Amino acid sequence: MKKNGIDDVKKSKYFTLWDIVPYLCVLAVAVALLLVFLLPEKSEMTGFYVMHDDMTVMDFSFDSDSFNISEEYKDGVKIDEKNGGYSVSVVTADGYNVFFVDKKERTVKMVDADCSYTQDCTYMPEIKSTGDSIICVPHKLKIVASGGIDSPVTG
Amino acid sequence: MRGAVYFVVVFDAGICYNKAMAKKAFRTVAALVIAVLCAIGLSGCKIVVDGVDVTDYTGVQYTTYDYFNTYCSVSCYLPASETERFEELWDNDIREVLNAVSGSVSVDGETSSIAAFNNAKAGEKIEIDKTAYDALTLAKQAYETTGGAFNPAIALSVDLWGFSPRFNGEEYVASAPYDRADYRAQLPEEKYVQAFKTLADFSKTSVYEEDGKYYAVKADIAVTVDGREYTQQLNLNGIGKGYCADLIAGLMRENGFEFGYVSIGGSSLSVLKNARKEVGTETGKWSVSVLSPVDSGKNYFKVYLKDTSLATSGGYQQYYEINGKRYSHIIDPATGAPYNSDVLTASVYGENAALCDAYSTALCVLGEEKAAEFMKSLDGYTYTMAIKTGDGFRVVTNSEGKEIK
Repeated sequence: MKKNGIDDVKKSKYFTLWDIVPYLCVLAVAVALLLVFLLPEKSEMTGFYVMHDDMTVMDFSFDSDSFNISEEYKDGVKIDEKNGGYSVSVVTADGYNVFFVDKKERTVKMVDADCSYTQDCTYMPEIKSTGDSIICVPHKLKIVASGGIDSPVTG
Repeated sequence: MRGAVYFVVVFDAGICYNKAMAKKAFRTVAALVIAVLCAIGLSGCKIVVDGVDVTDYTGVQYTTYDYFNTYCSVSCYLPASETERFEELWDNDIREVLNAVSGSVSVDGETSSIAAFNNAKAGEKIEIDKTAYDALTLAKQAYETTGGAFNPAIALSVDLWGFSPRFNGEEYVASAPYDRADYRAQLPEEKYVQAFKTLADFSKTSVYEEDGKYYAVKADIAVTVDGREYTQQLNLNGIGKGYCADLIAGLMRENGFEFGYVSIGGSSLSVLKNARKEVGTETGKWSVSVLSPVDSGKNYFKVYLKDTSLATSGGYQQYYEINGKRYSHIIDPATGAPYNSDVLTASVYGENAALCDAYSTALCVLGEEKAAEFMKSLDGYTYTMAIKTGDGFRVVTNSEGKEIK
């Protein structure tokens, strides 16, 4: 090697920016892959559906802010807009249930029912994550957060 | 001089060599790191649980309200091509199990072995079906293990205090001699409390198998109050739910459905594997939430489980208050009255849901100290308890889980 060439090498940095950039780009893609596929699924619910026995009563989407009520239950469902959400009353052959849909918090809570003396369903936790559910046993009514099957709850 | 020149040349060559090597090393290491990350990232496209690729599995859930006066919910993750086969399993085999167990152990079923037992005279031997035999055998085991803290022979006391199924309707009509006009405002008469307590000696009831048939011999005890005779009555609803949940989970496994869970009333669960990735859990485990005993609408504990069973008991859902004192549906066999320990709620996890159910009830009755001592004596079962402290509670557990603040 000529002396000038040696001097150039001696003065040069160990790595130039362009030595590293291609690797950084590929690394970023690899990390993105990791984040997309290895992190748990997002669990915020996007809506919910209501079942009476084996029949779908209605469903709701927070994103489109719209209810879709089954023809068979159209007469039994009443929706009132209040307190930043909806108060939904569902009357079936088994009785009535009232639940509140909080649009801001994206939650649903059973607030009233004539199901039994103890009204257990009104004490169930509000649903807020994918798959959460509220079940009113005497009325065979179930509200399920959309997006998957519910995680078990015991109590 | 020549030596000095030689040194400079060698030194310079060394620098060049080092820099070239460093670049080469960097490229090699960077390529390796990226290759590994890409491999992990790409393999992350797949969800593999215990060697099974469940990436494309979807969830289905069936719920019925026809059994045990509560709901039975069966959830399953499966390949889309198996949906129809699972629906058939639900419609046929699973419903058959629910019919068989509920029909056998319910206290009011027409063909129920337990109803037949309850209608029998003191000391009478009756033939029972296999399901009732299995459930009664488990009940005997739990009764003995818990030193009587779990006792299915307290059915009359449960009815006396207003917690049997006939009180679940929208209206209450007094019909038994010991019924009060308003059972949630008046305490039962002490003579009934004491009389029914003496009937609850489950050790005096026996079950056995003979020539392929199953029998129960009712405890030879009877009491007479206000001119009416009473004999021992059984209620196996709690243990029956757990027994049923385990049978259904077993059916699912036998048919190749390894992912999902069975919940009967929320208090008895049999969990298989989870096909989803959940925050805070390792792959394949379910994150099971436990309801708070004091804060309505909240969960207080999360436990991470797979391929196991669990049950929860507590006095915070079914109760009434008279003069500021709470009376819950869990009866202490030692007093014949609602339990009064410091355990607000107890959950037990282990291989047998029926025993989990019995043990969780026993923990409530025993109170923290005796309950923790009892659980130490059991192999393969863990627990979580909420212990009353002033207005709140503290958590005692030996399970793999975490408290939710």
